[in-house]
Amino acid sequence: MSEPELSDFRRAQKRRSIATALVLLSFVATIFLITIVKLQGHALNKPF
Amino acid sequence: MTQTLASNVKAHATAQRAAGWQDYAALLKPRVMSLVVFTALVGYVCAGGTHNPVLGALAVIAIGLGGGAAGALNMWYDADIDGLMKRTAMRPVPAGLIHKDEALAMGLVMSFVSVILLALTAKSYLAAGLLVFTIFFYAVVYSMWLKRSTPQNIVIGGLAGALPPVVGWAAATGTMPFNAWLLVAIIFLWTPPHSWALALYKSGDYAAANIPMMPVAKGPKSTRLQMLIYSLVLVPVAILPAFTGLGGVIYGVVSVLTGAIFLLLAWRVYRSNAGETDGRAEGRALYTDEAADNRPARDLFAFSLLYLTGLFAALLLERGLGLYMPVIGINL
Repeated sequence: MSEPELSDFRRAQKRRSIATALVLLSFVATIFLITIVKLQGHALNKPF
Repeated sequence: MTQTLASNVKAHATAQRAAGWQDYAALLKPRVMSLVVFTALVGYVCAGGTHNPVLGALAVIAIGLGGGAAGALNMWYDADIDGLMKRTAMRPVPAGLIHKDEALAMGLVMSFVSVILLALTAKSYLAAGLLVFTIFFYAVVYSMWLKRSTPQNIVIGGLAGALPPVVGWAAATGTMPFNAWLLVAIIFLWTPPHSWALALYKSGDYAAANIPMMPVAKGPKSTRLQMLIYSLVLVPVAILPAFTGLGGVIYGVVSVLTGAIFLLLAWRVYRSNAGETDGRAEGRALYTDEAADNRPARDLFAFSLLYLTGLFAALLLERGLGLYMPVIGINL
């Protein structure tokens, strides 16, 4: 692999890593949102 | 010549640019995905009842993600034959933009995420189970088995594309009544005339990839007859929701008018020589084929998209905007 190709490869790899991180974050946020919506008004109630 | 097409395209693509987000989006078959989301949404809305809008939106998005996952798995498995057809040679995997393994990983991860998301947002686990079945049926039964082995590939495999409304319905209520299956039946019966219209004027493409589509395996004349028969069954079935409590007056009018046009176009295809001239000439894109023989098939293909969209949009209008006026008082 030549130097420009290697540089392109690394840039693409970095872009993919950032995209994967954002997707994972949005998945976690979505699960959090579902939990809050399902709890509705009970979200702030303490179980004890 | 066709054997070298994929490698030529691959070399061209890798020399030109690296994969961008739009290539990953293309991997999910966005046009199919939009149809999945739309029909699932109609199933969800027609199911009735009271739903949390956030959970409803997430459930429909989950079904769409499942559709996209199935598309990515299909692109992973079909990379070899996609590379042999002009219509599909520029897809990201055969074009060398995305590695096969990436498509497989994306399809598997998205399948998992979509099913989990639907299980968490739907009324019961039935919807998630149906989504698993849909993805399995499209990726394994259709892509890996039927597509390359029988001219009935899109008939049986069409079930996968037909299921989203019942998945949406089950997500909303946890049930699968007759009316939900009626929506499935409409898409199921619509698939053969729709897909074969395209196959008639792209038969050269399918023959080059050795895919036994109906026009390739049984010839254009037999295909045209079968398209007419399916259309004659489809149109009355598509009118039926107006009498089962699913569709109202607006749906009834839309289904009768567009059904009449659909039948007329199917009759034109039957009477034509569509498919006798294959569409292999250079520069012919998906919706444009200059061969006069193939024009009726091209017209039916284009109208079939409008037909299905019109039927489901009428249901969405009636149920979503409260415009429903029953034709008769039955509700199945």
